Amino acid sequence: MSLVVLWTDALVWLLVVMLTLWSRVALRDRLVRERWQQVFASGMATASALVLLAYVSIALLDSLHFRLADGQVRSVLDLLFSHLLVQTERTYSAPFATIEYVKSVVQQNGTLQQVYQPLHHVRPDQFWPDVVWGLVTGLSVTGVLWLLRQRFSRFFANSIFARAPRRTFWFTLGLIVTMLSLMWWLSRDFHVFGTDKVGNDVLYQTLKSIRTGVLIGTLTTLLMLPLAVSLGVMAGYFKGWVDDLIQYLYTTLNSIPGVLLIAAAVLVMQGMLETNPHWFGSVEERADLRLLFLTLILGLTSWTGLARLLRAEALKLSQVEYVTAARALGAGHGRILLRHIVPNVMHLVLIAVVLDFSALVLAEAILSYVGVGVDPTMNSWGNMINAARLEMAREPVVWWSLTAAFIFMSIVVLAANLLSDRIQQVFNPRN
Amino acid sequence: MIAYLIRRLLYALPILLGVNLITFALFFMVNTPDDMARIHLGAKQTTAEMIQAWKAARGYDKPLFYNPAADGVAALTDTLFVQESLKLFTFDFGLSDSGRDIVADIRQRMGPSLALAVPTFLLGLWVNITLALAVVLFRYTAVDRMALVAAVVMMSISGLFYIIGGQVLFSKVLHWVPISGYQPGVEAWKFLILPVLIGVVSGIGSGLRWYRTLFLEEVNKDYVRTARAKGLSEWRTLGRHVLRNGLLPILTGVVVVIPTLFMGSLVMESFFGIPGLGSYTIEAIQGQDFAIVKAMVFLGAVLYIIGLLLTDIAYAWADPRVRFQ
Amino acid sequence: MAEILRVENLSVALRDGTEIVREVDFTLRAGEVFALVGESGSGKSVTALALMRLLPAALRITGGAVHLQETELLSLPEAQMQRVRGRRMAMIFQEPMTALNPVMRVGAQIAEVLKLHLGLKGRALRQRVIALLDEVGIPDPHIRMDWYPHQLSGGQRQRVMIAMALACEPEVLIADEPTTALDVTIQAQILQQLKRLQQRHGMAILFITHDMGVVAEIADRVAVMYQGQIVEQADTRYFLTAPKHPYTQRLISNALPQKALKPAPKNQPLLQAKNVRVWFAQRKGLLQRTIGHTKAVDGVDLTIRPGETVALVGESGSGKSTLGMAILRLLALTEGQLLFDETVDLATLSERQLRPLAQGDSGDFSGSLFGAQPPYDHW
Repeated sequence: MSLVVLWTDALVWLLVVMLTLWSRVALRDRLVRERWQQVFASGMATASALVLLAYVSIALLDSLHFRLADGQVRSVLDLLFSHLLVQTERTYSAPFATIEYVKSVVQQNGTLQQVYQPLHHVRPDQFWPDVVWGLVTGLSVTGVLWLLRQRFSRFFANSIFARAPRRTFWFTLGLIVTMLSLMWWLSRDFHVFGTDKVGNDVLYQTLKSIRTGVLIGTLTTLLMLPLAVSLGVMAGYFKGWVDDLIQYLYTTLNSIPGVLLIAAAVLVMQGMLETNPHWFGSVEERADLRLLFLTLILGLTSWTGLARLLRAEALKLSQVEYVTAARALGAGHGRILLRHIVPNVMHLVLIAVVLDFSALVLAEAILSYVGVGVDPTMNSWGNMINAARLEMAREPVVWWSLTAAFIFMSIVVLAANLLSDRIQQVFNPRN
Repeated sequence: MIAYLIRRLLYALPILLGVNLITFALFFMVNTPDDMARIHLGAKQTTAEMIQAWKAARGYDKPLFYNPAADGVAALTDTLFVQESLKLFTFDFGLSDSGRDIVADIRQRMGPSLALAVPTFLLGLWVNITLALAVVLFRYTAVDRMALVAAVVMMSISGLFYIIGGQVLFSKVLHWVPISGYQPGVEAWKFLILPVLIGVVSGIGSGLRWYRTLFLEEVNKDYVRTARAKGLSEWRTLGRHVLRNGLLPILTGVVVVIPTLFMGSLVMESFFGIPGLGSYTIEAIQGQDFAIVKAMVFLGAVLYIIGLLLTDIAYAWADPRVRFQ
Repeated sequence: MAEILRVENLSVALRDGTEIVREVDFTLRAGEVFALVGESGSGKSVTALALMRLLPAALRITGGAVHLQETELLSLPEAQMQRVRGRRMAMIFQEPMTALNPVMRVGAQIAEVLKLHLGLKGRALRQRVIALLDEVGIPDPHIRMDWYPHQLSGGQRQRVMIAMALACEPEVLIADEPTTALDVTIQAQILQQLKRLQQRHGMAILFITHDMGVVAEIADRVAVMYQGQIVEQADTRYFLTAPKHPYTQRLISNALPQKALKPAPKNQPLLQAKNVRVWFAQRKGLLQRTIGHTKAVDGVDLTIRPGETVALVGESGSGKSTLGMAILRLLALTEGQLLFDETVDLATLSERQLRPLAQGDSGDFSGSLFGAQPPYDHW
């Protein structure tokens, strides 16, 4: 068993390291810490943050890849849910069903008959034991954490959750842990979200889709931020020809309809991948490279909105009297930009990051539908919806793939939206 | 004002040129015509002759910027950049990679696109503004808070779910309208009513939130207090004074999209089988027809720039402070 | 004289219970100007808004009664209160710049009240609007009625506000610091206008101000508010000459100039501005040609000596700040010299050369020009 590092794995872990370092530095400032504590003084924000944290953790578990003895590349998440990889059926089955969804023709006692065939990997008698085990595991993990809270009390008092409503915190944490453990236990004996056309477990697909969604939502922002912040702030502060040039750049990019620009770039990227098969060794690497290119393209096309916002804000700030005062006191441009302009637009950047996250998760679905999203072999909510849509005409409707994607996607987007709302409320200087 | 508009129009030229350069770089330089040919002809067993023939049939066999084989001016004009990119400025989009006349296609498909996009746009605007004003009337009460929560939930749901949910409910279960398809003329409403409604509903979440913020910003201004001091009722204060001022920032965001309504909606049209420009574009993307994608990118950019221009005009028309400068 | 408005034990509090106005009592008689004075935050504006029942959402009336003739206003249903506002009791506000709807013609804004309360229409409506504008001293009213607020000066906008308030001949006019935001010369004109109008229409005016000069000029009776309470009420004559409450005494003595004038120092000038011009180019047309200049500062000489404070006084838009910015080289000089220490000409130095000088001794130029940095500095 050896470690395999995909491109996106490396980047997402790099992001984690950077974020940790940045937050340690930023939170050293008492004012900053208090603002964040104020953000999480709201129960809604705390719950949203925990939900996002759960999604990110799953994505991270799915971003540690190993090559097994048989040559297969698997992530830690795959190992946790390894039973789902082998428990495949022949075709569609509904959630918690014990038989297949459609009748098939079999020979019985010499005659051909249409019957619902039983599923191979379902044990109906295990339902209640699984539920009990799930509850016990989930609640005891939460309980242990709760008992250990004294040990972490110092950490808590200084953390951004210092003022978080305790009851909401523990309730949400308990709920998430219990749901996950229930899902795990039940998935051993049932197909919790049914199976797809070729009998693959839908729960597994939607869990794997988390990584795709989270990575698109975060890596794109990582690539887009340096461009948006530096160009936007410079345009607003220096004005003149710098402003003209940057405005020209983003008006040009903006004038191309978003989906078309992305589509054009993705088409080209597809062509490049097709003509350069030596870039990747396996299907996974190919899909991963495509995901990387996709985030790159999304990043290059989506910086304009934030840059425009920051330009306007920097323009306003450069007229504000304390900036004029700083200039009158003889401060240089670099100093003014770094000390006075950039820190005062950070709240906009932050709100944009969280809002963009949800927008990008939604965009992935649309792009995959159009055919310019992630690789068709990759698990993603967009691909799940797309596949389910093709089965719409089936009577009765195969609804579970869609439902699973809907639930998992809406929860994470809703959490991001709620959190960005709260951040906006706290950091907006007008309030 | 006229001079200003002419200046804006001239400013549009370098932008369109930039757009052309981007698409040209993407389609002819990063990916060479050889690669295009290989994609279209199928992977491995293509010969050099087949590629050459495919390129020659589409005029893709010319050099990029300078043609040493041609004489005089033709050395510069008989090139891919002039023929395939600059030619777009004359709205001569040429033939698609599969040999269809793109301009004729666009003309034919514009109608259905507009038939879907215009009602969606107008109805959506009206619904969002009315709802936002109603919410502002109940500002800082439980009604306001509940509407906000509902809006956040609504905007957290992917548009695809609205479409699929609507199709399942109204077409498959209730059988009120056909699930997809299109028919020109008066009968079109049967096919359009569901996509229009879904388009409006899926936009309520973000629209309501945005307009509410704008109106709330206005509501606390001094002139609104003056209006109340005159004895106007709250609803009339909102409808006569707040609405007109709040519409100014709405205009900037909204007018710019009006020309791009021509382009149709990619997702809506392809889900509901409406033969407009949106589904045309999607088919081109999925069929990797670069000529069509290139034409649509250019058309979209032109329409966007017209939108920017219209925004300026609309703003000057609506805001006396700008008009009398 | 007859009582028009009687305010009894009026109290206003924040939602959390903090009292802003405490048991305020006063009466307004027909044809008098009653001034409510006090420093900012004393609760005088809140009192006025409470009378109109136009308090912001954060405030509410916690007790008392307001009688307009025989009508008790605080217990009136909102729909009936709307018939009182603008018709029987009107109000003008402090900021004429923002109190008018920017996207509505001023004539239409006045017409709105007339339509609403008197049901005037068409020709009669137009005639009445012109008459009102004429009465408040707007020249060419038949033309100006089609103007937008931003086309009028601050003083004219306040006149429009007054016309709007007078439109229905109200019994009570509440004027909330109507002249504070205006330049001194305009202030006097508006005050005289108000006085004339009051004598002609015989309404009662509740005049809110912090300016003792204005009180002396216009008020018949005065009430002093301090921390949400009325501490003294008297006729203006007695009030100005023999104030009783210690707070009132301080208020009046502070209004008079205290210090004797200092002789100007005679030592070497530290900074000499000579013939400073700051012109802004006016550009027009396709090619943005310069067609003329806005002469913001045009040939100013100014000398500042060490240890001296020079006050630069003028109406808004007279070029005071522009000159200050030019001396700090935050704006480019069109012409002129800035001699520093009699040797260095600041006007010719590059920004880099300026920097050591700036760090040495600026900052005390014009204190009010530069705000403090907001607290959300960095995070």
